Amino acid sequence: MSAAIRAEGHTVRIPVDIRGEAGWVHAATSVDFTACRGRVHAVVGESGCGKTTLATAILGMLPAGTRAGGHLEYVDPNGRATALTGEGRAAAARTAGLRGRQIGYVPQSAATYLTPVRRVGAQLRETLRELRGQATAEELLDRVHLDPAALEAFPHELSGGMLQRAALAFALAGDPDVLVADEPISGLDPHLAQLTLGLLRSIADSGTAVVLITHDLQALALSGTADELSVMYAGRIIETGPAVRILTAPAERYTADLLAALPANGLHPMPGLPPELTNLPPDYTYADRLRAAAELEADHVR
Amino acid sequence: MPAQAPLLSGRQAGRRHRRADLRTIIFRRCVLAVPVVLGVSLLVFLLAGISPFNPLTAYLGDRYVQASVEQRQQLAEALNLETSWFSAWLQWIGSALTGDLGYSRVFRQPVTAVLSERMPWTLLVAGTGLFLAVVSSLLMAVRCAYRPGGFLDRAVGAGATVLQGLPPFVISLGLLGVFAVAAGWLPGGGLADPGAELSAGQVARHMVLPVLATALSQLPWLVLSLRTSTAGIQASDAVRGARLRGLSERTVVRKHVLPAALAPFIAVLGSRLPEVIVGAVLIETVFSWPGLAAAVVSSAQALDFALLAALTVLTTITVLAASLLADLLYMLLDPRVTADV
Repeated sequence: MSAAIRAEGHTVRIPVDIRGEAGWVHAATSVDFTACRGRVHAVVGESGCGKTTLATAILGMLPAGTRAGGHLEYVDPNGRATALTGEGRAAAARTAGLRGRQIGYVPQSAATYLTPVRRVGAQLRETLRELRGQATAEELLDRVHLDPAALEAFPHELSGGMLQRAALAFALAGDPDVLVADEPISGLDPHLAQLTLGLLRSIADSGTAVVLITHDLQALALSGTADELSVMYAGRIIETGPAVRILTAPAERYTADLLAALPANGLHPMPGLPPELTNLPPDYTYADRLRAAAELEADHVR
Repeated sequence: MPAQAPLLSGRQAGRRHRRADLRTIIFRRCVLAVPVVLGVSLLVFLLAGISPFNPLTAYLGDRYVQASVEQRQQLAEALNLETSWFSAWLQWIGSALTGDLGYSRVFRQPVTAVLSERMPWTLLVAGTGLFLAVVSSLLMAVRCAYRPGGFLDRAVGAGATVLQGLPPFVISLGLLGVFAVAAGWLPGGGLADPGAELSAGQVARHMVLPVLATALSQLPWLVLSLRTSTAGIQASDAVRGARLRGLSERTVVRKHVLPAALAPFIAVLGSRLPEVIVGAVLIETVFSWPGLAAAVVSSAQALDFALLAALTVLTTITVLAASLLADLLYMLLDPRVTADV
């Protein structure tokens, strides 16, 4: 079990400008994270907790002006590490060389992922050509259980579920070592979500490291897709370990509350609101949110 | 997968539907063009009728004063100036349908002869100029799209904005002043040097400046609109997606940014044709180019209504045809666009 993505103390600050006032988004703080070949490592948490920024960082596509600290690197099968963060042209060229070939990406919004005026097949073959993929377009579609007739279609002529699987086929074109799936099942019905998760599982079983970013704990718990699970809150990974253990016996209060909020466990709402990541206090934890929620409730009662 | 079968066959039905839509659009626009063309020609004759200018004065020039009242009367009858503007229009429509567009007083030959003689020269200059403007604006926009907000992008934007502020006759006179008068490198007017044989080489040398003036006056609009649409597309999910799946910058710009930017560009091009025609009138006049656009000016000055009506109707048809062509191309370039029929 060799690590393909390794993060140690990975910290990301993204500059923002809110109504003329400059600020920093604390998108990741001291993140330690490892994704191994042949395994599915799921990252869960509420919206706005920094999950997508982790995906963006792994693909080397953080916005310009971002400050990154600590380490985030790709480790190839021979153990050679390449840093994924850093500024300037050299860093950009480094990560551009990895994208598609070593690190594949499954997007959140498959509906807008392809260029609308060109056919799916033309774009898939172009990607195969450019990434020097060994498979044919038909073989890739077969791997994601999609009718080869989809190659002749324009993106808007396919359904959301078909586009999601087509996007998976694009991610597989370069036969990547790591696959980052950013909310691949949001907006899919339960049946299609399970199908997509099953595909990701089989991709991991063929030796790829899969990083699965989702807020859909329900689908994750049902399918048993994930091997490892990391829970993210306010830019930090607060709990990480075997998925089965965390889903059944969480160590953190936050994880327990997330699980209690699932329909199957009684739909108990999460207390309070998730924090804004802009100019977050350095020692902020879930306890602060619980305290604020309790105060708000006390005010309300009075 | 059986679940996909209805979706994909629905797609084929959609394609058939689109082809039917295209035919409907062409048919509808052609039918609608008839009242528009009739209305425009009617307006020309109405304006001629209420115009305070006397065509006879224009026809006779200095001789008008010397001509007797009877002579004037005879001539007016011969030239068919006595009928009301409405019956003149009816006569014109009737003979136009048989292919006879009347007689041009200013060029002293049938209108059809004037049109067939001058049309090629206008098409040569306006067509070459527009082609040059389209090609160079596409090339420039592609270069700019590599680095939005970069030096080249901003320089092209500023240059185009300045150029857009200059009317075609200023551009023409500027080119004339620099290249023909000051430098003397290129001839400044006509089709050929005085006394020279009308040869391809002569025409090629003489058309350089008018073509350049046409291209320069059309270029800024095209560049600016193309630049705006490529900038929007650069920020789209699809282009970000193309980068995320590891495509090279070259492929991203040529195969993803440009094709998506092309449809709105074609729409701008279609709506720009009236401007091209107005520009051609000014440019052909400045460079004494014997085209149709210059004939508009001569026929208007001489109150040569037969020619003026023919040219106006021809312009109307050209504009209608161009906007139809642009709409059809837009539909062909962007598969998401459905015809509003």
